[in-house]
Amino acid sequence: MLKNYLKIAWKVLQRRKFFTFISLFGISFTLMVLMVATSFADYILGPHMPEVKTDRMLYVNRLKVTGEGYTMNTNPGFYFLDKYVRPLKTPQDITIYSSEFAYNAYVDNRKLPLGVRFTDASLWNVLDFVFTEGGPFNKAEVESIARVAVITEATRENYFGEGKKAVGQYIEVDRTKYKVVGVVKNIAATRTNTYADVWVPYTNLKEDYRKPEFGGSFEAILLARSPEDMAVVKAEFYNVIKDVPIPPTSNGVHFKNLQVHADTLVESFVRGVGRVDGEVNLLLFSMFVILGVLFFMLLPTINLVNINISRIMERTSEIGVRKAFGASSSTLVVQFLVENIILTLIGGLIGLVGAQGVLMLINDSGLIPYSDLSINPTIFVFSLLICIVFGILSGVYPAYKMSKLPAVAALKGGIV
Amino acid sequence: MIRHLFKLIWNRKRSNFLMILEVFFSFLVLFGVCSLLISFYINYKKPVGIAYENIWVLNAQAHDIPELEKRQRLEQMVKRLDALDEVEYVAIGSENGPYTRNTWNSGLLYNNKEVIANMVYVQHDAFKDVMGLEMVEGRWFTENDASSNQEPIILTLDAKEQLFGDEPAVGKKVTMGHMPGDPIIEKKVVGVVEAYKPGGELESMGESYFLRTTLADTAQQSHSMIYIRVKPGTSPVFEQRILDQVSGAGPSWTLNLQMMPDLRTSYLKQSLSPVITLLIVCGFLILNVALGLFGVLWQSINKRYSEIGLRRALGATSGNVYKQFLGEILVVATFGLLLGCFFAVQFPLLGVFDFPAQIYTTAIIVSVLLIYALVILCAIYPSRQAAAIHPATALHEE
Amino acid sequence: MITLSDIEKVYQTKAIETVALQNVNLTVPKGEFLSIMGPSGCGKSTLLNIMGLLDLPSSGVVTIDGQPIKTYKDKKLAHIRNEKIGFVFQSYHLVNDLSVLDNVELPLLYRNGVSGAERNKRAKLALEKVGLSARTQHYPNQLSGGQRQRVAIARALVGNPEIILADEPTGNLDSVMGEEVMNILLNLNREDGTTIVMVTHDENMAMKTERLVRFFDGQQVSDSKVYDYAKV
Repeated sequence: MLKNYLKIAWKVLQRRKFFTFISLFGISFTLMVLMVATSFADYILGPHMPEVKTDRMLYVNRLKVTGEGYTMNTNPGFYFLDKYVRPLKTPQDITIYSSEFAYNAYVDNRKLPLGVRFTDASLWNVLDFVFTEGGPFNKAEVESIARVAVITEATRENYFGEGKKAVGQYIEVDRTKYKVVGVVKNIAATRTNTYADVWVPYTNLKEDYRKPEFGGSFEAILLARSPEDMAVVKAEFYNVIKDVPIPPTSNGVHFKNLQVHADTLVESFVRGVGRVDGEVNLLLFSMFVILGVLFFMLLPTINLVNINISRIMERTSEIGVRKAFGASSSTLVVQFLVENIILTLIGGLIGLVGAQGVLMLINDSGLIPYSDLSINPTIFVFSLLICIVFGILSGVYPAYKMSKLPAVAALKGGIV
Repeated sequence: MIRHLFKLIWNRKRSNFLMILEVFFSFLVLFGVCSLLISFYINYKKPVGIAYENIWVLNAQAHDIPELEKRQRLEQMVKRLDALDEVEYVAIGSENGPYTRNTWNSGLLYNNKEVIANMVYVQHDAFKDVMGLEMVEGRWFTENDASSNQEPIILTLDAKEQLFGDEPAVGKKVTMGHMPGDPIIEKKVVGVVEAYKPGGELESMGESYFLRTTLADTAQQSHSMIYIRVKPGTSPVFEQRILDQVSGAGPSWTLNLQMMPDLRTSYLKQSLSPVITLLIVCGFLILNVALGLFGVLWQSINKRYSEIGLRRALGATSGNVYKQFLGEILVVATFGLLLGCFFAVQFPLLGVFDFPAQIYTTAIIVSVLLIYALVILCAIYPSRQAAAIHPATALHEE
Repeated sequence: MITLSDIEKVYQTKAIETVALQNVNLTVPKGEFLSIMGPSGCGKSTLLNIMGLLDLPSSGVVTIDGQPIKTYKDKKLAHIRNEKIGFVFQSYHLVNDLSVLDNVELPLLYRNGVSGAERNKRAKLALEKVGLSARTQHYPNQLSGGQRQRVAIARALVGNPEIILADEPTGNLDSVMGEEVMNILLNLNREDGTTIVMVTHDENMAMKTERLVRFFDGQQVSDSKVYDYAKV
């Protein structure tokens, strides 16, 4: 039966090439956009180098203090993280590192902008960098204020020249020379929490990071022992935070309330996008995303439904004959749905190829530095799912209309 | 004839429902895009007022050194830079410079009228020449302002018009600092500059005002953004010289030099990429709809073969048939647009998104015209086909 | 008055040439009720289309009211159809999405300078003539076949045409309804003097008209007076 369906579907698609073209155009473009968007979402929120263990990681990167009509939104400071977060017992490991500092290096009269993070040595354990040369710096080096640096491959190429080795050489950042000890693979700029070009021990910071202030320019990642352990770590974190004494004054302002969160990557993203204060409601967020996707799919769906109905009207006599020879309405509906899903899948395939092209274009354009967007199996499965939903969505109403056609009228070709 | 078409479409509303819905949603999409583009265009038309081409920005951050020493060092840096041949003007100003994406807004009051504007501190009077500002009224800050007992303020034309309308502003007194607990400070307007929009081309806020401070005035906060105007054609290699000049200040300084054209490029790239993506996606959505409408219209002519023949028999010319089909799609579009406009007018009425109502009304008009143009384009070929149908054969098709 | 002289109609396709009408000479005087009979495919409908200016002959001349037609352009032909000719079809050809009244008004829409009120008035008058005054706001699919054909006749006569061309007007109707429709046509002919040319398959119907022309294979084979109203 299915083979028969497929055969008819193929014939129908060939019959009115123009309609087939319009349908495929709409389907493939819609699905392409969705696939590119999915790939982006995965690239920002999925586990990608160096944040591979995202199912065990909690990010502490926002601090908010309020009081008397005064609100301060900032990164946590080193003092705060070191004093209250570092001593947590339940995480397997904790890393504290600075946000990205922008400096310019000068190589052969050429300016080279560098993003630098000042970090502790735990960073190399919590995150999974891929070293292609040398290795990370260790705790002793951090404590002894060693002038050592880990750089990315792109930085190596830009600073030392193509194909050159970097380990053992010196890189000058903010008029300080650091000895390169390791080179890691490039990090995509979409990893906003970890992206950098150069990492050096935090003890090299010029500003006084030990100042007893809550705000500052640091962030922390807590690594739980297992995904199941996340709740435990969170509980301990919030338990500690609730007892943190709020500093009485700062610049003459009296603070009353302190908010710091330990979020998963997704929660952290949602908090940033949605400016959420309290608990992040992932369900609500997913609803918004789904609504957005549905709204985007609305117009192409209506369009496809409209074309589908036109197609069916053209086939009224075929439908009449089938009914006259005993096809039930439900067989016809299934037949039409199968046809439509096949059409959508073909469109999806074209969309997939298109999406791959667009992603490669984005990678090549340098719009997102060091991006390596691609269609991975997760996205492929998701795309397949979107295709089938789209196919059913745009096929149900026309199929319903078709099943309602009275056989006689269908034979005569007259439809009201 | 128009009534006849409306009647026909109204009676066919069930089979035309999907087309009406498509027009409706296409209109909403276009309306959204148009609103955005028009607001961008209006912002773009507001002059930036800054001759950004030859401005370099040096951010000199001091870490943990005494305030007095910091001020001295900064003064030294400015002097040394000013002495360089390639440098035309140097001035320190607040950190919210053009294209830096730092913002600092504050209110200004005159006769109970308030304007929220970019607050810019100018630490050297050469700031005007660095930025290339044009005066339209009064004068810029001078040395004498330091000894005057009236604190001077300079407004942009946008800010001046909001506070004073067409009247001259120079000599009038404005107040700032009306947060509860803040001291109220009175300032005297000494000049008006044509424009200064540090938010860049796509920013809507053209209201700014300038306050004068000096490094010597220790009662005021010191600033550390050094704005440098270099001679046209200065090579980027000169960057290194600038850094050499200022690096003598010591290791506790972080120095970051950027060129304003680069800042502007990255600003534009960041602001425009999502818009261009949106435009491409919406363009394809609309193209998709257009192709769909075309196909459906074409198909509907086959369905109405005998009706066309009949009309021809009753005395319709082929021109009449052509016009009827175009007219029908216009009526369908009108139904969709009426529905769409009903929703679209809610935006200015409810004041969604803070856009001025004028943007929404323009967007509605533009979108309506675009939709009409689109449906006509889609209907021309099918209608011509309909007009070419031979009545005798059409009537025999049963 | 319609005069057809030396009419020939040839349908040309790539492979074959079909002669639909050959050597047709026919004059329909004003006020006559003429019926045309013949087997399927004998060219009756083609003849009617040519008379109604829906189709042009391959050769020969159609003259309406003494004016030869051959040279007219589409616009002019449409104008003549609208002013002088009314059509009735076997399958009614009513626009399903328009009410009865709107359907009847249709020909007046294509005539310049007829106001909405005037259209309305004339359409109601025409419906009165066919006995459907009570049905003006109904839609075609709410009516019986006979009623639909009466609406179609009302539409044909609303523009006061000189000639009504009816293509098997009773072909889709049962005998009672067919009778009804036929009586309306007869009345129109007798009382208003409208010229009627009717193609039919039904001998009984043909026998009620004044004159009968038979066609076979695109040619006129007989022409006889069947009924003389004056004698009744």
